[in-house]
Amino acid sequence: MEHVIECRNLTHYYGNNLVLNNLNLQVERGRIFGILGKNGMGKTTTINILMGFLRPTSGQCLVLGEESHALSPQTRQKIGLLHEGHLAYDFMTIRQVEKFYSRFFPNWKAEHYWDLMGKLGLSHNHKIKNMSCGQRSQVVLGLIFAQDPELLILDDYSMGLDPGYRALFIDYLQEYVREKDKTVFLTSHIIQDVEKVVDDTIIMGYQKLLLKMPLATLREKFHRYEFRSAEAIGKIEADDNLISNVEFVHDKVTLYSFKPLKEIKAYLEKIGINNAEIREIPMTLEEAFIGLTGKY
Amino acid sequence: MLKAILYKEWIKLRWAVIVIAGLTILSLAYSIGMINYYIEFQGAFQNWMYVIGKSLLLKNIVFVKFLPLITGLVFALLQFVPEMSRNRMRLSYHLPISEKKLLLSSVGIGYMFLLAEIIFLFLGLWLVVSINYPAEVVQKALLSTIPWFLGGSAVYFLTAFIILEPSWIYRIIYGVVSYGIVTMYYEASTYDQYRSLWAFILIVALMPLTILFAGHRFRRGTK
Repeated sequence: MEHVIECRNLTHYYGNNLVLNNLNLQVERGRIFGILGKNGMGKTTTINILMGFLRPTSGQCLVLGEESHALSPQTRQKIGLLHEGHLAYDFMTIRQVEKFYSRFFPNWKAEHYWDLMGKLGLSHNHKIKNMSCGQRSQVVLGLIFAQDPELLILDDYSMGLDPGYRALFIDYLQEYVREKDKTVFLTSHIIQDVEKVVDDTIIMGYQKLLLKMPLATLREKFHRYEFRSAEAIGKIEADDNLISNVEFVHDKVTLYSFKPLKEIKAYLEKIGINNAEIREIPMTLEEAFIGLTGKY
Repeated sequence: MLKAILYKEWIKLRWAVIVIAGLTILSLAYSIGMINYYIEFQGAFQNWMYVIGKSLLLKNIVFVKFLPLITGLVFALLQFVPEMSRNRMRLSYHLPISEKKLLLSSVGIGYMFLLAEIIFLFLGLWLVVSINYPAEVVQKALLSTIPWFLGGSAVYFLTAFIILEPSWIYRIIYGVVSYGIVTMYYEASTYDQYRSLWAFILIVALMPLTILFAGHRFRRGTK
């Protein structure tokens, strides 16, 4: 199985602050990989290391078989990069930026770019700095598609986009990736979008990885249970084994776990909580994310 | 790929190149006016004493003296401030071209435009001075301008270096050192005060290497 991205024992400190702690991940060719986590958990640090803008304190990160901080120009030609905030050459126009980039990529597919630009309804002499965030995102996406890369790395692609532009972005990305068997590595804070498009996900916690699995497996194996019991308060605590997270709102108890209902019931009886009318509540990926990482 | 970089730098610099060219023509016209003024009102004899005895001709024409400096500063700001705002330099570093080639060609293209303006000014001055003075005076006067042109070049490279440096503390330090270096090129007030210009030329020739250093620090994620 070919790994397009491979990180081994990735560790990084900012001064004395440990941000990444022995992170190991592999992204297979043809998959869409989503990295989720709260602010400050190391998502941007991981992306910066992947993009080659940060050298990790220790560990190794390979992209298309090369060290991420020393990618050859030939390898960079195969990677489409979307920087946080949809960074673009603001001083250029729609026409100028396409003309500039096309000279770097021999397989440039201009029709992908102009197809998206046609939807903007702007003059081709319109400067990028005079565009809204959503319009700029379309320009950047068009440039990436026209490049026809093997790997797309999208850092917080949803930042600053309204629901309309986010939906357009996802629609185009899905069509493009599925049709051409590309590999995508993305981060986003909008979990409901990620749910539509991602195959595999990792969820990062404070100085550790909380979860790494295909999304379909997460949906199948991660459960949310609810019951009411005033006596449960203080008796149930999260651990790495049975209960991933527990929330108390008055006498309502919500448990998040990878274990089946039978095991949870047995655990509750063991700690003296009997006759709890516990039931499983289906959840979205966003609710699963909050369940794993907590609300605060 | 070099054509693409030239295209990008031209988009950033084109209006400044045209404006500076216009200012150069105005400066030359002003120089003709000033020289004729000195001859007219000082009298030819007194003017000759001034030009030969005190070895002064172009020194008081401030536009001429500082135009290369202003041009170098403006070109470097226009080229590199847009690249460094919001870390936009990352876009360039991700292009499929080596980092060294990218930085040196960007700086090389900017300097090419600066050099074109300097040569334009130099040839214009040659014409202006030749109208009223013999070859020996023309030669001395033009030689006195070379440190100013080197100063303009130094300002261009050092400004680019400061802008490309990712750390603000280092930028301040570089700024102070750069001020000291650039001042050296403007200390002389008469002809032949610089015994040897070769050292000054060498310093300017080595300056593009500082760009590679700043670029490398940016790439490593140094703040």
